Amino acid sequence: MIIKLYNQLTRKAKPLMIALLVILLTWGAIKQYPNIHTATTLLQVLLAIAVAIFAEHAFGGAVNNNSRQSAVISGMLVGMLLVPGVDYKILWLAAVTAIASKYLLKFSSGRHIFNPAATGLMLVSLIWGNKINWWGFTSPYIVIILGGFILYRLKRLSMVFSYYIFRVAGLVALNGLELDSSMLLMPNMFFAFIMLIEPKTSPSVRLEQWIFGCICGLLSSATFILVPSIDGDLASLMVVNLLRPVIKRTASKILNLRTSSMPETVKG
Amino acid sequence: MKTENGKDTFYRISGILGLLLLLALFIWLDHPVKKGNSITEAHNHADPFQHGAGVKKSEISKTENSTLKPSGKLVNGKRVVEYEAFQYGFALDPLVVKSGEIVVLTVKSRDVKHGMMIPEIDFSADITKKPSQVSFIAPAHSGKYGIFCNVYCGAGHGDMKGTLIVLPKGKKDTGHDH
Repeated sequence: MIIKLYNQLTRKAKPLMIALLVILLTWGAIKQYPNIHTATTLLQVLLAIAVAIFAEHAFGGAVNNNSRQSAVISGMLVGMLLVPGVDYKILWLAAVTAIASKYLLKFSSGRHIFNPAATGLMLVSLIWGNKINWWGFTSPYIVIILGGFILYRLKRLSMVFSYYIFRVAGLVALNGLELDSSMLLMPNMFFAFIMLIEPKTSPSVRLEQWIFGCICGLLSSATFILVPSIDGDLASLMVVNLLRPVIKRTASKILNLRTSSMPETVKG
Repeated sequence: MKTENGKDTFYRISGILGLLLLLALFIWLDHPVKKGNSITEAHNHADPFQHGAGVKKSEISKTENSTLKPSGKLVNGKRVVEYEAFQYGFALDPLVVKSGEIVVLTVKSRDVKHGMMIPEIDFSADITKKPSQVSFIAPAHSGKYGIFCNVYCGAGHGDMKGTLIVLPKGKKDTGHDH
């Protein structure tokens, strides 16, 4: 009975992801209360969700509940990443671009190319400069524990491990920083557990996940040293999103090579 | 099939209308402030403080107004302040200036790279271990404004906040460090 209930509750990832974001917002509001930014930030998230839902209908028509949930997640991410007090016109454009990118920028397979929230945020950053603050990342522990649980269900933990390892390695190698306790918390866990793993724009095969995370981690660290004013994580995510077909081909070549080099007895 | 198309069109139109309404609301929030009886008075688009409700600040209390002194020193009419960023905060905090004055910050990081952003006045700067100078004009309206880091710098990045307190112009300036 309990296992059945657990399976039912955890069957769909999107409601769980929304729940995780709501918990992070609530925790942030509790932790910071009373704070001059609390009302501003919560209003900002609500407005971003409203814009994203309207945009989802404007582009998709009578979409199903699943698409509406995606729009809510994109809207929440836009609201939670843009700096508190950002001009609402910037918020509007970021949320509309996020949803528009799902419908307008697609691979021939029909899947959208870029992570929607990252696309919206990068566009407004290109126009108005970096307005990304990640204030919604209110607790690394909540993200790692609850996010880890969701990713375990989604079978996407390899990507997070790979990103983490190569992000830290990149920081040490490229930035010349020492590997200490603060360095271990340098990779953006909110990004890794919530944005990097977006199922439609990230691979599901384990080897592809490792390559995907590796490129993203290294690129992100390189951006941090070369152009810190650009959000390295989001920019790198868009690059690996675009490289997904190449990553897929590379991974299948490696897998074929491994299979063909195996002895006949092992191949079975 | 016809019903499906009708439903689809209805949702599309609702979505577009909703988006336009929200955009209109956001533009309205950023409308020019009415001065006296005239709303036709030319206003400076670069100054967010001539745009009504779009500016999000909070007021300073009477006690803060009477006890706080501007940070740094006045040099040739400019407020010069040494300002540091670290995991996860800013020093000085709060940064206290007077409305309308030119603020020159010598910024430096104690550890990794950071950023500094004051959204209401559209100011942002990178902060590295190497000291550098950045400047901005303090908002015309007194109040408290948030300062945020906009370069992801670690697990506590979301909590890395500072406050800019803008005192009214008439406030007596001692010229000493805050």
